[in-house]
Amino acid sequence: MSNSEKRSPLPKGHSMRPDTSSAPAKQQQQQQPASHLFFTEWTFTTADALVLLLTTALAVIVRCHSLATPGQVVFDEVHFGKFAGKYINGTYFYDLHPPLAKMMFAAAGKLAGYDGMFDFKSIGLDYEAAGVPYVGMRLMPALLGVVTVPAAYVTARACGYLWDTGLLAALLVCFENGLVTQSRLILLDSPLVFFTALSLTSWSMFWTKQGRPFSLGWWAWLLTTGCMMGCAASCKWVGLFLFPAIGLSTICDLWEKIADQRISPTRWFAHFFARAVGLLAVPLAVYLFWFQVHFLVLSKTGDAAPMMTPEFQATLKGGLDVSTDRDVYYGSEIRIRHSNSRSGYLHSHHHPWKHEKGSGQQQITIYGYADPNNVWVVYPAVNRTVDETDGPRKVQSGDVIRLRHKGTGKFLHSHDKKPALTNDDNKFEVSGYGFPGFAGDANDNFRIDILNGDSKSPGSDKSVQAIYSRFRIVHTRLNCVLYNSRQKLPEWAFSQIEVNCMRNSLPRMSTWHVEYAHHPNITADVPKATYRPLTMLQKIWEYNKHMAESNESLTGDHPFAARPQHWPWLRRGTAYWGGRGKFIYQLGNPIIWWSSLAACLLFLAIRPVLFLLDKRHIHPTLGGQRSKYLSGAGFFTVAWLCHYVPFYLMGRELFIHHYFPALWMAIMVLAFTVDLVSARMPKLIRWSMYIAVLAAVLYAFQVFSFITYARTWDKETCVKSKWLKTWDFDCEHAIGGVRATDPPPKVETTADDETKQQQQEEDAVGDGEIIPPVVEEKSQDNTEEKPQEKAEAKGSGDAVADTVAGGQIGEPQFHVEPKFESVHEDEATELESIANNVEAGEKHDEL
Amino acid sequence: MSVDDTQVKRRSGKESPDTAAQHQAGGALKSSRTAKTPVSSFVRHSPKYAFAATVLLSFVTRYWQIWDPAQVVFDEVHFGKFASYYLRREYYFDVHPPLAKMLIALGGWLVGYDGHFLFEKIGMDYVSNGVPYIMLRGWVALFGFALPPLVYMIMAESGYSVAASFLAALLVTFDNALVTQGRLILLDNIMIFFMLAAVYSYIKFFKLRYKAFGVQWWTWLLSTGAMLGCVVSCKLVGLFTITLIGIGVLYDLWRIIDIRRGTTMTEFYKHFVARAVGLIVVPFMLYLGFFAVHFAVLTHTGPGDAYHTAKFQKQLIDNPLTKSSFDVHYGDAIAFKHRQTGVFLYSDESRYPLRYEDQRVSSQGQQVTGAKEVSDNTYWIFKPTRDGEEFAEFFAKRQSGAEIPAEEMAKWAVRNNDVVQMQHIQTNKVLRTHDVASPLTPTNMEFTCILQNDTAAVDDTLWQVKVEDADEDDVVQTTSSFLRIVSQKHKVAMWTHSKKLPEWGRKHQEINGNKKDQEKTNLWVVSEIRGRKPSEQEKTEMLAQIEPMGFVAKYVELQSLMIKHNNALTSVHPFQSTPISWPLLLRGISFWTNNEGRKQIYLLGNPVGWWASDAALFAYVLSMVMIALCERRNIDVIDGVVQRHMFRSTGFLALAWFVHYFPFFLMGRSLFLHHYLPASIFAYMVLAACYQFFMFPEYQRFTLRRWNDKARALIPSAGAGIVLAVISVVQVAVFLFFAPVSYGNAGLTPEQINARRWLSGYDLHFQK
Repeated sequence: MSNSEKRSPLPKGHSMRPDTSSAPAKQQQQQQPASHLFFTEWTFTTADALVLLLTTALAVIVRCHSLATPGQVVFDEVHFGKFAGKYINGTYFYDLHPPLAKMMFAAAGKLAGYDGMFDFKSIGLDYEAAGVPYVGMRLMPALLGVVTVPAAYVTARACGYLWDTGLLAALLVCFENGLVTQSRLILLDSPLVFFTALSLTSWSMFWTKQGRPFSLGWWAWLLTTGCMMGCAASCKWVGLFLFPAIGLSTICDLWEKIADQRISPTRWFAHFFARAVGLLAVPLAVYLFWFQVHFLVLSKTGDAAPMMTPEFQATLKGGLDVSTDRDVYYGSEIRIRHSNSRSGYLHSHHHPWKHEKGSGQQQITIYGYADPNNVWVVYPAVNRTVDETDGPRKVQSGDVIRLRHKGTGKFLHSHDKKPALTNDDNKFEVSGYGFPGFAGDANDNFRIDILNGDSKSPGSDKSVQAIYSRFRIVHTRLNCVLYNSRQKLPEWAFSQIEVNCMRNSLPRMSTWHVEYAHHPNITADVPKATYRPLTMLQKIWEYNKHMAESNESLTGDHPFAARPQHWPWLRRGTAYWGGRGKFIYQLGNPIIWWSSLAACLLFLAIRPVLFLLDKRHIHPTLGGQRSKYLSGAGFFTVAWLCHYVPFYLMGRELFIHHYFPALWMAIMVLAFTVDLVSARMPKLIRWSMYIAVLAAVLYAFQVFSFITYARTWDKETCVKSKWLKTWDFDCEHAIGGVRATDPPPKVETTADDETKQQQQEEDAVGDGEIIPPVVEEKSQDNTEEKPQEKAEAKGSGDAVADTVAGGQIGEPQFHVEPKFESVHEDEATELESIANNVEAGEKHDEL
Repeated sequence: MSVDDTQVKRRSGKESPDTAAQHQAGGALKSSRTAKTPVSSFVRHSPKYAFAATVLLSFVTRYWQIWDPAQVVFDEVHFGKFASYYLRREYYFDVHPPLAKMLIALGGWLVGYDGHFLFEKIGMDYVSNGVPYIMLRGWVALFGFALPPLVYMIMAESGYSVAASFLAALLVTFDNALVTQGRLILLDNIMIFFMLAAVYSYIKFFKLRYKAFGVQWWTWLLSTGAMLGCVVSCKLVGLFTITLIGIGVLYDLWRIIDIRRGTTMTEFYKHFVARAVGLIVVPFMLYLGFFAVHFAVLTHTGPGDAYHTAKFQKQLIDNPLTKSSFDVHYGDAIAFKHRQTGVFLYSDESRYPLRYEDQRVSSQGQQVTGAKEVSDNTYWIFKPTRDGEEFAEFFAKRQSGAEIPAEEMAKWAVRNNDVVQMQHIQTNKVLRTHDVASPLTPTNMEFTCILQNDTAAVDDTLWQVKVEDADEDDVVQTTSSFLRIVSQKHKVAMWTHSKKLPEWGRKHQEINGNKKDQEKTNLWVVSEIRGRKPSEQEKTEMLAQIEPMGFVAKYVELQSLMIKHNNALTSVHPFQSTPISWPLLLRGISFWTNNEGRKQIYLLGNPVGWWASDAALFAYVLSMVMIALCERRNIDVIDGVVQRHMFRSTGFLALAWFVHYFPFFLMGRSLFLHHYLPASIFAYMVLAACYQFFMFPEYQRFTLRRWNDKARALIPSAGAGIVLAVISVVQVAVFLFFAPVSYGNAGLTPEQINARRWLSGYDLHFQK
């Protein structure tokens, strides 16, 4: 078959190497078979074409079968569907993942005719009724998933394996339930796995061109690899793990090449730079390119805009547009904004500090919105009146000033009292103090220390200029600086953000700038200041910094979050969606997961043993497969490690779907290992082995296809399918015979009064089609408590339990809610806190 | 390895590391050498002079005005306090292993300090509190004082010239951070001392590799192990040192197993086992040993109790748990206290409102809430679910105050896993939970009270009492038993959290049923039995009842708590920093300030020294990469012996820097500049090594020689001498320049302070 005769048995792994063998390098090196430099050339044959066609066709059936079920929002479609809508409308949003995959969904949605008006608010919302072309949107990831199947075949062939091993690899990928589940929904992982797989395929193909460096094919595959890596990283940052994987292989390659005396130094550097360009510059360019597109599409301001810096917002249509007098004079009215957070403006109002150790003087806070109570008037500290005999004076860096609150007439003040939210020795309360006729005291004196100005606005580092000068406000007596503690005050302070005066504060949280300045007596032509919109690169940089912060702070307690040590042995899955008599539970194909893990571990065990044996001059040939196995399985095991081990270091919330890129690599190792084991057997036995593996995989695929495709499952089979106790899919509502099209059974409750009452409420709100736990917000609170209780109370087989327990999957559905994975909670809460401020009754403050 | 230089080739037979055994034969060699190249007496004795100078300078820098300031500085707050607890023998809890703190306490004990002072706040006065702080600091400073000589010995032992060895020692002597840290009551210098001692021992051991299994070989192997045990018993950072030695050992074993050396596998196993015993078993046993001492010293109850399980706490003398621990019986009027938030289970006649603000409905049942104070409404009774009439009889007898025989009392004791009802005394109703969302937490089940004779809901009122860490049938006791009250039917545990109910709930805490019944926040204790006070006899009985806890159990419990709390050290400190900023010395730490004298202590390394050692590390790595690449091309750029020395010895030092630095990037806890100090010492040593490589062209002449080898040339060229002088002078000058803020003994004017503000991150006080 195909080009098997082209492969030599390679007893020592040297015969195909074009280089190094003649080099008078170290003796030791020569005695060891080189493990990572094995490659073969591969000529594409008709047989290959046939296999590719076959596997692709099979994959299309497996991945695209009944894409329309369920016709409801599933799991994180909540986010990614919504984001697609935002792209279509061009309204700015923020997400902690890079944009490519989401833009692909937007494109798919656009092609399918989606207008971006559906809000994907919660899991279980109905697509059909809202007229969302969700099948079109789901088709995109499904097709990407299809491609990963022939890609596995090509990769195996490029690594020097025969068609049968390639076919095995492809079929393993094809029938992996987890990959199938993920690729049928509007989720980012399918594009990610697609680009990851194609990067590795291209990289393997690049290796087949090693014999003809710098040829067209060589360049083509190198650059394709770079593009694919860039795209993978532009889907999710997990794609970045490709860089160590492919990088290590590159370094080994160059390390071997430099010892080859036939390669001139110039040529070696050519090799070096070609790879630097292909594998670093190209991905970076691709990454930046997609961000560029992202910002070009999202040109209008949106809900998430306030979390960016003012300079960023200034780039959005309908975003922040500030224009103010530039210079700040004594007597100017100013608004002071906290520079490095999105908290807002220095604020005061007619309410006293109410905490126990407080002074009871007027509150000073940070408030997120423009408001008359944000206005302060600058006075000099020395003679306390604005002396304007020789014209208004500019406020200089190092000046000691007083700030008088325009609305209430109090002076900004700090003293040796504890702030509301902390007992820290270094922090002091800030208050508004004074009364008519009182000249104020030394505790009202603050010094302005300009930290940095704007180089384009001369003088902004000497005298205070609105927008351009960034400064600290130092209390001269206590030697502390005005500091944003980023904590919400209690309700008596309207949940605004706390300000205190802190010693030894980090500059980051104690930098302020003036956003608005106006002197009542200066009306003539004055220089203006406005935020300078960021350049595209600056925008990308700010956005990426944000993503990094959000990733770090993502520490929810999602009931289905899973730590990395639980992934490869498939401790448990993730509940995605629940409907009547059927549900989606993200669980891989256990046979594949377990055996691929075993294959990777086997390699990790064999490799050191071989090293030791080499050291003792014993060189097992592994049935003549040594070189091929060590390079192929070695590369993919290292890649697997690179995509798996780093997760242990992440504190953020993780899910089993983070394992999918690594899984694809583990499957390759599995196929190679099966090949290794059967290499010396007669064809018949070898193929029976392959068929046995496939049969087991197919069996498991069939068993779990119910939760992959949301097929109706009967309880008995469901319970029997819990191979591990830790698999917590809920068989209680997997009851056969209830089809989705059946009208919902009328609830005949025998429960006591209060539940009946709740039930009635629920009936009034829920529309029957939607399963209670995922109904809209209004009714959610009434029902979220109940499902589980009911299910337990009534036992199984009960119509009531069935209906009510609909979407109940182990935990109250309350949790299986938008919070899921991609909302970066700090942003959300911060926005919320700003929103709350408005609601929570700043009304007295508003005009 | 090909060697071109004929001279080296000739000598390499004699001097290569593979025949380093010639140390013993050194006498003959030395005499022949001395005869060939006569050297002056100064040069001959230079190793001695250099070592003496190191000791002297180190002493002066560490002990200079050690009595100043006479106030608590920075973390003396903690480590002084812990020493006091050792001397008072009161149990405390800390995330660090005990050795360094015990050593500090040992110093205090030697000078007769009784531990009366608790070092509560930075800036507290020592003199007026009668603390022998000078002796304490002087004792700890001994370890700091020993560092430069140790550095000298390591360098000399590794085969560097006297000049390079002295340079390394001098750099370490005049490093401001090491001085500041080395003269206060802090842990780091003790830890660094053991760390360097371990490295020194290992180098000694490694050099004896051709006399394997000899007495000296074993001595230095065990010494390495012992020092590793000590360093890891000071701080868990010691694990980095173990990693370092571990990598060295693996490299060594990798060489030994090579068949071309002719090692048999049996020999290899012997090597392997010897190292496993010496470097794994010995340190671990020592580590455990120090914990054994720790437990043996801290026998009394103290501030650390609360971290531990009840069983552990009961081991401590005078602990409050044993003092008032009674068996709880059915029918006792008891108050339940929530362990985490300290509220009491409360109920009264008021009911839940029909509708909450968010439009959800309630059961309108009787409120069950958590009250801050004990009152009549916080007393409850356990009612048995068996033998109703018998219990009524027993209960009546108890109410009447009659004497009840012990056997009958025992029968009615509440035991672990008993299923009970809980009756509220004041309203005479029983506790129930049911299928209704609780007021503030819709995912949890509402708690309420219903009439006792409500048979329809009787299942809702059954509770299982689960005692934490207890055996089946253990009797529930007041204060010392931590309970989970779990609904028999719904499997939810009684739970509360700090959220307050609105006005209708008197701002009490919400009580509800938590489905995650294994959470620590579900624990309650029976805080008291109304009217029950212990008699003397009971007190002694209680003491007798305490179940002794073995060392291993105690150790395992403490160790897991240490790890847990170490990871939880994430609170933000104004002077914490990120590892990336350390080698560049972007910011220091303010240790102490004194407003009157405008004095301060500010932890800051010697900036020039640190930057220079960064440059040296960079130059070293770069040249190693270049050499490796050239070697791959068969281009010889450097002499073989030099290269081997550079790779092995300097490589080991650079690796030491790396393993003591890099892992901090992976840590989530809050980090400080002083975590970099161990690494900084190794960086200095790499700097000195690089000085030798770049400045001594005929370097191979004195590689791999004993440190007191008289034949070693001092300074081979004028250029090398000038460079040495320049580095030393700059290091000392910069040290003196920053000395006022390192010692905190001289006030500075704002101008002087600003002159020391080399980087914007050096946020010294009193700048204005």
